[in-house]
Amino acid sequence: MSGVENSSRRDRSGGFKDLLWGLGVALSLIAVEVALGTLSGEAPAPSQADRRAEYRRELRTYIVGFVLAILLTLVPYGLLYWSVLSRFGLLLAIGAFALVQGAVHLRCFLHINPPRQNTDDLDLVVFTSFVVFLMAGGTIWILGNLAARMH
Amino acid sequence: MSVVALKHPGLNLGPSDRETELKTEELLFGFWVFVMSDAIVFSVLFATYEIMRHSTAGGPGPAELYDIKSVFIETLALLSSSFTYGMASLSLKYGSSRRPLILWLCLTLTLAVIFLGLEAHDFITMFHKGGPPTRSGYLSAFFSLVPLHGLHVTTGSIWMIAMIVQIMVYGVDKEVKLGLLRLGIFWHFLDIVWIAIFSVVYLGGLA
Repeated sequence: MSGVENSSRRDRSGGFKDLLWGLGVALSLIAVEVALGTLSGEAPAPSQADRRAEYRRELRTYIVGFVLAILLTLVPYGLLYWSVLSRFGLLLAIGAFALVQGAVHLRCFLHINPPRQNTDDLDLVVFTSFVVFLMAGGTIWILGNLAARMH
Repeated sequence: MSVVALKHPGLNLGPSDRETELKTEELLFGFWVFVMSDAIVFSVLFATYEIMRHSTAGGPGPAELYDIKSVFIETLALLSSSFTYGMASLSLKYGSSRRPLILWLCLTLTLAVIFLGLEAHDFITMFHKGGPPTRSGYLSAFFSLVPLHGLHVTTGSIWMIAMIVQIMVYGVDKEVKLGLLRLGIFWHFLDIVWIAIFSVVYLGGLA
């Protein structure tokens, strides 16, 4: 595969630069997400009287979610298409963008909003993440180790 | 600061009588449990795929088999369908007539059909390039993960057709609203799974 050849051609300092770059992207995206959460968390309490305002607020949530989703898809696609980074940096960036996009979808489309959410729904998200961490993480760890020994 | 509590995942339709609110909370929590358990199933298939990624048994790998442009268009179609479903939810909550609701649902359905058509085309292309599920462990893992998502989208589309028919026959009554709320959770969840597939399987596979 061409990606493997690419990474072997790069020197170590290049890989380190890409790592820093990937971390920078991840951190700035998380900052955007936190800002987004804070902004919408402080939205005024809707009442029967200002239903119009509530409509605009919810419409904005969907539009913001859609625009962010498109951007968060375009950037990693572009990074891959023009092969800007080394393989490791690229994988890191793809992972970071996917995680942030998952959070955006949960927040903007599924309306999972921690300060306002019913605790049972949130507990379930946390519990599921824990089970996924154990089962998927454990599979990759144990079977990956086994596969590495067999090859 | 006083903020209105969200009673359940997905768009909350707002206050109603106590009995309806309780029923809605209960039904949607139950559906949320199903969706989260589905997420676990997908995550384990993702882990399997990651392990099997290099077990190509001398057969074709991601670089030969994937058509990233087609997958990119599928991604845009599915992301847009999530947005149009959001618009359908908003017209369910705020709209006075059912016409915009039905139109947004039909638009969502069209995008879903485009997605499924392109995905089926991709799979057939993979078969022709010598990559059926029986070729290698990598392809078995691929075809247990990606088409499972496609199957979910197909089920969601059939469900959406059923909802459109119910809206036309019964109007927007309580049962129809509850159905649309649950379908919304399902639909937006499938979008998240697709983002994971796009990133892990396609972008990660070609990186």
